[in-house]
Amino acid sequence: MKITAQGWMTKVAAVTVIAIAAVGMTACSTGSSTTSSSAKQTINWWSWNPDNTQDKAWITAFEKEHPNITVKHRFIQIADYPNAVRLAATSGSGPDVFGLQVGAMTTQFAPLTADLAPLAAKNIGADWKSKLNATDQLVVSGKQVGLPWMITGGGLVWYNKTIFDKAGATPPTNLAEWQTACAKIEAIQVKCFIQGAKDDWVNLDVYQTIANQITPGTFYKAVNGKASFNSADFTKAFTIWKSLFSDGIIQSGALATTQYPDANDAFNKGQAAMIAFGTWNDDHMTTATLAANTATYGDQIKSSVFVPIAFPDVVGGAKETGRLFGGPDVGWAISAKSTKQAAAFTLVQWLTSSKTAQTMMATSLQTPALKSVPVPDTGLADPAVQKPALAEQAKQIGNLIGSRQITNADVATALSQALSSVASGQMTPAAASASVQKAIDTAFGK
Amino acid sequence: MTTTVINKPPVQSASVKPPASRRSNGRTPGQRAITPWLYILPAAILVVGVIYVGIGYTGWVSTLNWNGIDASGRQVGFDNYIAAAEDPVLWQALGHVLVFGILTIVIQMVLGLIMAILLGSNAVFGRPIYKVVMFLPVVLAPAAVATAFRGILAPDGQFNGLLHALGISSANSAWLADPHFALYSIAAINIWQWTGFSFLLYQAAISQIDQTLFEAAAIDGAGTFKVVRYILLPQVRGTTATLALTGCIGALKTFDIVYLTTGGGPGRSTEFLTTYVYKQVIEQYHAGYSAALSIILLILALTLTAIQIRAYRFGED
Repeated sequence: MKITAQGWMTKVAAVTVIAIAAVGMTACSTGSSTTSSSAKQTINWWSWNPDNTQDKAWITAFEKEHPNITVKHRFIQIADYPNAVRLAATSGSGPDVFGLQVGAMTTQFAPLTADLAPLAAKNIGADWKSKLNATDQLVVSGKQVGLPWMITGGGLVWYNKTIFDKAGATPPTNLAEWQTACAKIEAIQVKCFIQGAKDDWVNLDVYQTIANQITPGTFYKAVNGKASFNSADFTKAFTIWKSLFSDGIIQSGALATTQYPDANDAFNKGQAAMIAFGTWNDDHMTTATLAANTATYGDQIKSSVFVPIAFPDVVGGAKETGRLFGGPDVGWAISAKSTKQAAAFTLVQWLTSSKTAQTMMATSLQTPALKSVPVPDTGLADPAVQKPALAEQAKQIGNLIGSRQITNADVATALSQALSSVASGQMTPAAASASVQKAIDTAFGK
Repeated sequence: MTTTVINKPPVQSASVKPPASRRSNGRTPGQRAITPWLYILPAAILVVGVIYVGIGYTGWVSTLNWNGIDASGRQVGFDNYIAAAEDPVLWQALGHVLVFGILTIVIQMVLGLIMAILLGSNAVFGRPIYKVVMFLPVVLAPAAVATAFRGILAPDGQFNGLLHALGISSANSAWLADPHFALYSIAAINIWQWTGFSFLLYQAAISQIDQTLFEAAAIDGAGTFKVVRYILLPQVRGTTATLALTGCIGALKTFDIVYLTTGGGPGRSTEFLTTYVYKQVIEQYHAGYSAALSIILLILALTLTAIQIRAYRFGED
C-alpha cells in the first residue's frame, strides 16, 4: 500500500494526539492527590548514599512491606549531588525523597523541603523525637527538614593492628607515644599516619578533635557566633595542627593527597598504619567487608585488623579525649513540590524508624538512627580488640559533644582555608583565628 | 567494456530558458528566501538557546543576592561586581592565571616549535613514533592525568626518584603540596599535556612553507640560526599568534587539572578564576556573586578573542 504524504502526516498527527492524551491521563492519575490507597504509586528517591550497588537491597525490602509503592532510585555522586538536586527540586521535576547532609546543605535546601514534624508525630508517634537520634541537627528555623537515617561520629583515629604488631608498636594515647609508634612503623617502610589534607572535611574533623581536647564543646558555640573564635584556645589548636605536619605525624605531601581515594587506598592496602576516619568505617572491622575488598586491595586486606581508638592527646594534658562529634550522616527529606507526600513519608518513615531498615543498617555496623536497634558485634575480624572499641563507640555516640558539620558555608570555608594555610606555612595561627572570627562576624551580622 | 566520458556541460544561450529545478517547483519567491534560513535554524536554536540565553541568564543572576536555591534572589544591582573588585582572592586568582598563562604559552610554543623543526627533518629515525608520543598526552582525560601526577609529584613519587637517580639526594619536595612550587607544578603538567598541540600546529605550518625559500637561503650561505630567524619564524607568525592567544583563553578557562591536583590550595596558592567561581556557587551557595565572577571571566575571554582575531589578520598580512 502506498502511503501518500498527506496520509502519512495524518497518521503521525493521530499517533501524536493519542500519545499526548495518554501522557496527559497518566500525568493526571499520578499527580492526583485523591489517588485511592490501593493504587500503585511510584516514588523517586535520590541519594549519594546508598549508591547504586546498595540501593536494590533497600528497595526490595521496602517494596516487600509496601507493595503499593514502587521506588525508583537515582544515585548521584556527592560532588554533583547538590547541584542536581538544586535544579530538580526547584523545578518540581525532581525527587520525592532525597538525602541531605547535615550542616550547610540542610540549611540551604530547607526551603525546598516539606516540614516532617507533623507527619512524624502522626505516623511514628508523639514521642518520635525520643525514639530517634540527633533529629535536632535536621531542624532549620523550627522546620524539621529531614529525618536521620544513620548516625556517624568523628574524632577517632583508626590503626591497622596487623602493621602495629609487625612493627612492635602499641596504639598511642598521647603525642610522645604517637611519635614513638611512628618511628617503629616507618622503620618497616610503612607510612605512620596518612591524612588526605587536600580534602577540607578531614582537616575540619582533626581540628575539631584538637579544639575539643583544649576546650571541650566551645568550638560549636564559636562557629555559631556564640563564643569567640579569636581566642588563645583556638590559636593553640591551630599551633598544634601545624605541629602535626612539622613534627612528622602527618605525612609529607598531605596537602595534595585526597582522603578518598588516595589516603583510604593507602590505608586499606597496608601502606599506611593510621588514618582519621570516624564510625562510618566500622564495617571494615568485619570479615565480610574485608573479604569483599580483596578484589580492590589484594589478599593482604583479609588478614588486616582495623581498630578505632580515641584520637591521642596531642595537646599535652587534654581536658577530654575520646569524645565524638557527629550526627546524621544522611537525613531523608521530602520535596515540598512532591505530589505524593503520603507515599514519600512512608518511605522516609520506613528508612528511619522501621525495624527492618534500621536492622539492615546495624548489620553493617553503622549506628542506626532508631535508638531501639542495637549494633551487633558479630562477624568481627578480631573480637578481642574490636568488641570493646564498638562498646565505647556506642557510649560516645549517645553522648555526642557537638555536630560534625558547620552550618554556615562561609564559616566552614574560612576555617578550611585557614587550616590549609597554617599547615603550609602561609598563615600564622593567630592570623588564622582572626580570619575565622571575621567570617563568623560577617555570617552572623556582628 | 564501457568508457566513461566526461562531457562538458552544454552552453546555454540567453534565450533558452533553463528547465525549472525540482527544488523550486511550486515554491514562491518568499518560500525560497526562507529555505536557507531553515537550514541554519537548528544550529541557531542551539547557539542562541544554549549559549546566548545562558549568558543573558548569568548576567541577570549576577545582579542578585541569591543562593541558587531559593525561589528568587534579592536585586542588588552592581554590588556583586563592586565586591569582586574589592575581593583580594579574585586578584590573587588572576595573578595566578597570568603567571600560569605566560609560563605555559611560552614554553609550549618553544618546545613545540623545536620538536616540529627536529621531526621535520628526515635525519631523525622513527619520526612517526615520536609524533605519536608527542601528541598522545593531548588526548588523555584530565582526571587520568591529574591522578597520575598526584602520584608522580608526591614526595616519594617517581619525579623525586628520578632526581635521586640524577644524584640530587636531597630531593624530597612535595611538589603539589608546597605553596612555593604548586603553581609551577601545575604549569609543568599543562606543558606536558599540551606541548603536542603546539607541535602539531607548527608542523602543519612548516609543511606549508615554500621549500625553495630554504634552498635559496642555503645557496646564499645562511646557517641554521639565520634560516630559523629570518625564514621560518616569519613564515609561522600566524600560527604563533594563534597559539599565543588561544593559550591566553585556555589559561583563563583552566579548571579541571587545578581542581583535581591541588583544589586551588594549599590555602589559595593555586586558586584560579574558574576554581573560585566553582567554590563560590557549589560550596558557598553564592550563585549571584559566582555569576558576576563568570561574567568577568567572559569579558576577559572576549577581550582576548578580539585581540586574537586582530592578531590573526596581522599574521595574514
